[in-house]
Amino acid sequence: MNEQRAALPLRVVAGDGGASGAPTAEVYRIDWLPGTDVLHGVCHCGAERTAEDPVELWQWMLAHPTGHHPSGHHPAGPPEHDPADPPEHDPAGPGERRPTGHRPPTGHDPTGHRKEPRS
Amino acid sequence: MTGVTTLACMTAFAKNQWYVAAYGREIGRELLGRTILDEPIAFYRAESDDKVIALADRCVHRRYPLTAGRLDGDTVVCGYHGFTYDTGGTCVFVPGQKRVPRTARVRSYPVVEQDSLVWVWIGDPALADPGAVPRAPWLADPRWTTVGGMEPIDADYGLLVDNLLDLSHETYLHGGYIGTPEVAETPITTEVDEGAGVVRVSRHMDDAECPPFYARSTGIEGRITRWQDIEYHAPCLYLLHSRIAPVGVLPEPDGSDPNAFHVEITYAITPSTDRHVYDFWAVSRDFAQDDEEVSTFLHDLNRTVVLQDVAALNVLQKALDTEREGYQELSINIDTGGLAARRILARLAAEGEKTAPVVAAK
Repeated sequence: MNEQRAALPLRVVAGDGGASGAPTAEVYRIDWLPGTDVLHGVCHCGAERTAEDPVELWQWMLAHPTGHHPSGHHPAGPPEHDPADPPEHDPAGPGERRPTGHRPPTGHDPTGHRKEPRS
Repeated sequence: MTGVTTLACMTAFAKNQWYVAAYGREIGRELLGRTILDEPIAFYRAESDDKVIALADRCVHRRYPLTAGRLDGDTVVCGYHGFTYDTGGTCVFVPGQKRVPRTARVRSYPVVEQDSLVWVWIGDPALADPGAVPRAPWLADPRWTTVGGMEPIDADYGLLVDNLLDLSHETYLHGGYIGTPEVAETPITTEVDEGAGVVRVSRHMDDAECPPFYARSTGIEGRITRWQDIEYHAPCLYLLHSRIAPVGVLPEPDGSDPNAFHVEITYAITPSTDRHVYDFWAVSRDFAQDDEEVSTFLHDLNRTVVLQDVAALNVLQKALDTEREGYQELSINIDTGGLAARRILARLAAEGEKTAPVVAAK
């Protein structure tokens, strides 16, 4: 089978065919907990899950909303769905772009900070 | 088996996207040829208004490269039989006859020149939105001093994306230049805006060795607090916001950051063919802006680092070419951001195919 070079389920999202970079609400976050091998993922719906494998965690994340319970935390475990099933779309419409409040890199303001020239 | 991913072939191209074709300074009154997403393109500046023009680098007559011809004012004259094209690609002269065939034209590509970069739209010109070009304003901001270049790599562009989305390789591939032990040891935070196609990977090192790249440019002696904040705008623009300060020196409560050194490292990943990618790189700094020695140092050292990547990816591509279809990889935590980038590229490639026009006889 001529697969695309993608490790994870493909999400085909309706839209204008391009990524402008303007922030949307479809944000996923994975923190690697310091001092551990544990990854902690948070879906844009608020559901959380931990795992020690990024492939597994992304599969769960992108299955949204399948297997997602915004009020619950899910430890590592097999995904609650068949990864081969196409993920359902967000009922709000994945093509809809809503500003979320862009988070700039912490502590960084690239407007030019004057410092003493290196002597 | 966890962490295992199965791969089969090259990273698909994402059409209907903007790609960096060149630095503005590379394009003038000499024709420049670059192949972008398998499309050979000739670039030049019009004499009348200095605007960058991008035309298919193939004469409609017998496919001779226009870059082997010459410029005549705003027009391009084919070096073989003199077919002449205007800035829109329309043929305005053919040799020996009055009538220019009505259909004689070469494809013209939308261009945006911004932030010292020349961007070209690969796809349906009707979909090109100049407002969608991602920004790197420091590249053209007089408050920052920038050095940069471009190195071609004989590899699938996806390998360069993998390389840049996981900087733990600095410890091993670039040790003694920009790599120190702390880079690979420090966990990352990954945030993906799936809708916008932006991947952010952050690694904040509270107490790290200062590598020569920063020690000799900032003058810091001793250990540092080092922040790496990656912001990848798929498919082409990669930004690395780098903050260096003596250990424990943090931004002020009001958000200003006068006691730290900031370096913006900008990459543009422009696929050329299945096994060739243009690796544009730039280092912009907000300190010692007028110090030529620092500029030379940062240019030469970063180029050395880029060439280390070039060598590694050339070797890797050769190795992958010997693999059977469906070879497997194993992913670990450091790959969290890179995996997301691959997924977004696959999505963009699929979306780009849906709206790409039928290619007329080339």
